[in-house]
Amino acid sequence: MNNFGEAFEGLSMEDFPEATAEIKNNDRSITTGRTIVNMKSNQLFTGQFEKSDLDEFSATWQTFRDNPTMQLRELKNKFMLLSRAMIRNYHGEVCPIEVMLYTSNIAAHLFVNKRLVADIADVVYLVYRENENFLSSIEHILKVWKWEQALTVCEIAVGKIGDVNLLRYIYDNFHYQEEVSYGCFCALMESKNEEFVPEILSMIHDLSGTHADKQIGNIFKKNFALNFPEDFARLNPERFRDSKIYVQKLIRDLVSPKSSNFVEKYRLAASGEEKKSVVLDSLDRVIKDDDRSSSLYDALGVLRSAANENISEQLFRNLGLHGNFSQRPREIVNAVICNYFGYVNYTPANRAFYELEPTSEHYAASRAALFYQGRLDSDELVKNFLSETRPDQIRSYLACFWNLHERLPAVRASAVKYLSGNLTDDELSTAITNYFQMIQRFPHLYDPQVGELIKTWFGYGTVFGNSRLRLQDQTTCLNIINNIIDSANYKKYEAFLYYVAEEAPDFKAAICNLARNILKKLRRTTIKA
Amino acid sequence: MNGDTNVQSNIHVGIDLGTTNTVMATCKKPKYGILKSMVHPINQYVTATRVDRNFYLPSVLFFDTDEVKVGMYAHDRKSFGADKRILYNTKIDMGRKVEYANGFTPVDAAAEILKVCYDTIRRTIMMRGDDVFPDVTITVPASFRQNQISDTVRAANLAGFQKVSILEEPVAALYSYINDQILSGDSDAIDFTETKRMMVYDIGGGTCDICVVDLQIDRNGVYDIHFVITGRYTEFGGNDFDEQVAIGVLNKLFQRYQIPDSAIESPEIRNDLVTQIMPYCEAYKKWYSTQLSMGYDEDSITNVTFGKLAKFLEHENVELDVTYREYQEYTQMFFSDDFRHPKRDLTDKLRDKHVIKPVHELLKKLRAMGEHGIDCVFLTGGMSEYLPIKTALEKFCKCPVLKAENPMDAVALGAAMSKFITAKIHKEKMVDISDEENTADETDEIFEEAPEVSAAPQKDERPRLAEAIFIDVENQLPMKIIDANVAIPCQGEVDHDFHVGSNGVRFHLFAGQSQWDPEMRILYDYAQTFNSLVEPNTVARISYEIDEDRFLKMKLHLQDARRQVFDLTVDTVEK
Repeated sequence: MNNFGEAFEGLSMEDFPEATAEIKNNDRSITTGRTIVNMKSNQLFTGQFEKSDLDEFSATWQTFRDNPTMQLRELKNKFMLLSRAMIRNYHGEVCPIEVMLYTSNIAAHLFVNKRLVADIADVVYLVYRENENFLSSIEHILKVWKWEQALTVCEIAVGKIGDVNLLRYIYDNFHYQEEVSYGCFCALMESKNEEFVPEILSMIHDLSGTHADKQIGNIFKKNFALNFPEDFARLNPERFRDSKIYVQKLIRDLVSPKSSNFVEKYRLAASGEEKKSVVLDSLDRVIKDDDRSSSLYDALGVLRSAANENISEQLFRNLGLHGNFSQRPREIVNAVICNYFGYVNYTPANRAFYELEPTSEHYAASRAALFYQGRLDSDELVKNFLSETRPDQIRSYLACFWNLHERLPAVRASAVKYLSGNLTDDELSTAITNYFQMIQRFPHLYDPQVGELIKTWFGYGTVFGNSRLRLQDQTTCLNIINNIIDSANYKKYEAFLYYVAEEAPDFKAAICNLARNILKKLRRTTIKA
Repeated sequence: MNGDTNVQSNIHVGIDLGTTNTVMATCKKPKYGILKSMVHPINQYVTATRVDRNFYLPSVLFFDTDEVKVGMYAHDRKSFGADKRILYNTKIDMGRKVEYANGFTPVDAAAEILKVCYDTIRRTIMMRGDDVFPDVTITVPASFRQNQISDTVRAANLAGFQKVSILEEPVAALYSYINDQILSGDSDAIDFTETKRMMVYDIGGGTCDICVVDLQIDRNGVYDIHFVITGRYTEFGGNDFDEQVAIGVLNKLFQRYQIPDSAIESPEIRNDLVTQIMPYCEAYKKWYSTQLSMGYDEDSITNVTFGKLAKFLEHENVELDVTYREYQEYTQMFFSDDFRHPKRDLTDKLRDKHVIKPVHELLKKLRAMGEHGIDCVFLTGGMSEYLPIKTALEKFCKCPVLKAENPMDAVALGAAMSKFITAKIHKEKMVDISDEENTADETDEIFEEAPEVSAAPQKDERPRLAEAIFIDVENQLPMKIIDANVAIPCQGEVDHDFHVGSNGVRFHLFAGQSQWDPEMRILYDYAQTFNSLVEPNTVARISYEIDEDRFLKMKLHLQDARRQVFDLTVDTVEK
């Protein structure tokens, strides 16, 4: 080995003559007669596959469509097998990605499942890894195709690949189109390329809080600090001052914990003393309302982790939870009730909560704490909430719903149960208003069965078509639907909205117009066979 | 504007809007049943300031400081190399969403070329005693798809033509051929008194158009054309020969002058070099074509040198010499046997560029249809002058190959006489851009004046639809709505109930052989918002019409109380 190396020791690159120039016969840059600045191919595919390839991919999609229990992993493996077989059969000349995504039209409606999107994007990425020339195929799809599921999948795959030119193309062409902006955002995030941080922040800046926007917001919240730690450290909430409230809150939630991240400090604390110090700081933050730059909820998280009799007692006593509430801001007291005592079994607190009068300003938080402890069932809590008429109590309930986790299905079901009960007109009116407020803030708490109830209240599908709702409640119900309707679920409401807008004789013009406007906001859809 | 369309002109104009050259011919209303059309010179800039008449209008645009100059002057500037002010070869981009450096589109470029023809018609033909603007037929390849035809009609409209008919180039060439046969009284090597199956092979500057017809011409000159099958649109023609020879010459020069790879790294430099040399290669093509047609064999052909480059990278006065052997070598790929094992890369620009490959594919399709083979080949188009093409066809098809007398002119001549031929078959249907009515009386008059030229109407006198048309539908692969190979004109309703959303629809139309055709193309993108909301899932029917000009019209009929109908003729998504 050494001898071989020595033989070339005296050589420099200059000793190797440069190859003589040669223009290839099929050089694509030769476009004699015309300088093309912009060309969109009308060719659907770039490789000549066979019918049998298409049949196999089609059959797999068909099976997946007909069999919802089919595991995504199984689907992914099957596609990888088929793709590898195609690569082998055509010696890499034909890209299986095009066939897989073309046939995905068979199951296009299933791509509302973001896990399916992510898994198919994974397949695209893995196929690309088998042969990097397939990048041209991905580029072709992005530039020529219009099928949303195919575009979204390719966008995310490009993020994994990290091709800067294509990422730039994706941002320039897709970030403003709602149907494909999710894929665009995922691609930029996935790339972990700091060059695209301005674009990422610009997309966040312009979010308005629709359901689609929230999906983007969630990805941002989950991955921005992780993928771009330096940019996260520099993130300045001031930049978002002119954004919608949804964005301001998103940024605030993301930024505030970091200046004094108690949970992180507690987790990293090496010794018991250090942990104790963090706990004390957290206690100060909660009880004295010190250091507002750090998050109250973060401090409560530490206290919950370190929960003991002493901490509970201090909180209980200092905040006057035994009935003589301190002059602490109501939000702080409610947060402690719900987010600490809702998770820590401290008998004096529990007793106090049971004894609290419904007129108390902390009643809602106390009920939530009992619910989180499993001492109050969801029906009871939701009934309390939906029948509440005091704005401050409604706000308190809403503040307690942010962290439902495994209790979420129960709360959803309880809301359906209460709304379908035998309510007076006034009770129903209150319930609808409160429900709307909850959905505005937590769209994921919406249950499609409520949509069915709304249809009934409007008299949709009944013989006489009479609505039992007051005008204001009709508006609120339509606003609930407006809040949750998206490209994935619009079919459930389209006919109903059309009924309200165009067919039912008894609705006021304002209601018809509202329904009409919701329908007009919907995208024009592909024709159905 | 076209003038008064209520009065029928005595002259019909045919325009062969070619990739390389545009040719215009006129034909007068026949007297005594004799049709005679002739190529009409076109006024064009022959220098920067002088306008003169020339039989051929090079389809080249030069963007001068104050106007776009089309024709000889622009053509002569081709050898200056790649220049954003020069535009040609744009026909091959018709139907595509393309924008050139100067902001032009293929439609704009075609409109400029047609505008020159329009001006010539107005200034010369109309001044010769005919004050009515004549009817005009523009030819297109038979394999042109609907969006390419629609672009051509749009270009004609932009150029000033209110009405144009569209005719397929092979049909026009056939009309010219049949008329020549009838006029001369000679029978070609083939006896057409009995039906013969003929493959029309039309190879021009940029497209190679192939179709198969059954043709019969009886002793009285009565003919019968029946189209059997049309080949796929193939971009292959004289330009490809020029480009490959230019590349061959350049690679030879790179070797000769030991040019390093880095010198041509930039695509712009490569494109510029090829563009500069191509006009010389065109001259070699013409020279060797003439030599071969004069009967010289390969060994006795005189090798010449056309021109030299004043500057070639760092070198000066570089001769561009190409022997015939080299010419053959550089263009050998167009004749090789490789076509039997085509590359699977559909983006390879040379993939379909082959003299025999489209023939092979069409004959395979013919066999699959259970049809018998062909009896002869009719070879036409500018590139048919290059003898090796004829030889290759003879060798592959194993049947006689008839060559058009004037392959450069045949299409325009046939287009010019088409009106008086078709007038006897059925009253001519024009693409009426202004929606004005045609008058039937004058057409009847023509019928009465010249009844003996041809016979009663025959079905399938025009090429069939080369590819089926598909529509995008939700949660399915694209669905076929019009079959391939249907006779044109045709109309009907898709036998299927579609359903629409409340607000509007959007979909693509595709052209291809089947759902699994890898060569499927996107024809149009449609997006239509309804005038008023419709009930979700309202049934919608789609009606279609492909008229004699192969122009596809589609309508969406909503089956609701308002019975809204939407015209789907125009591509509604931005180009």
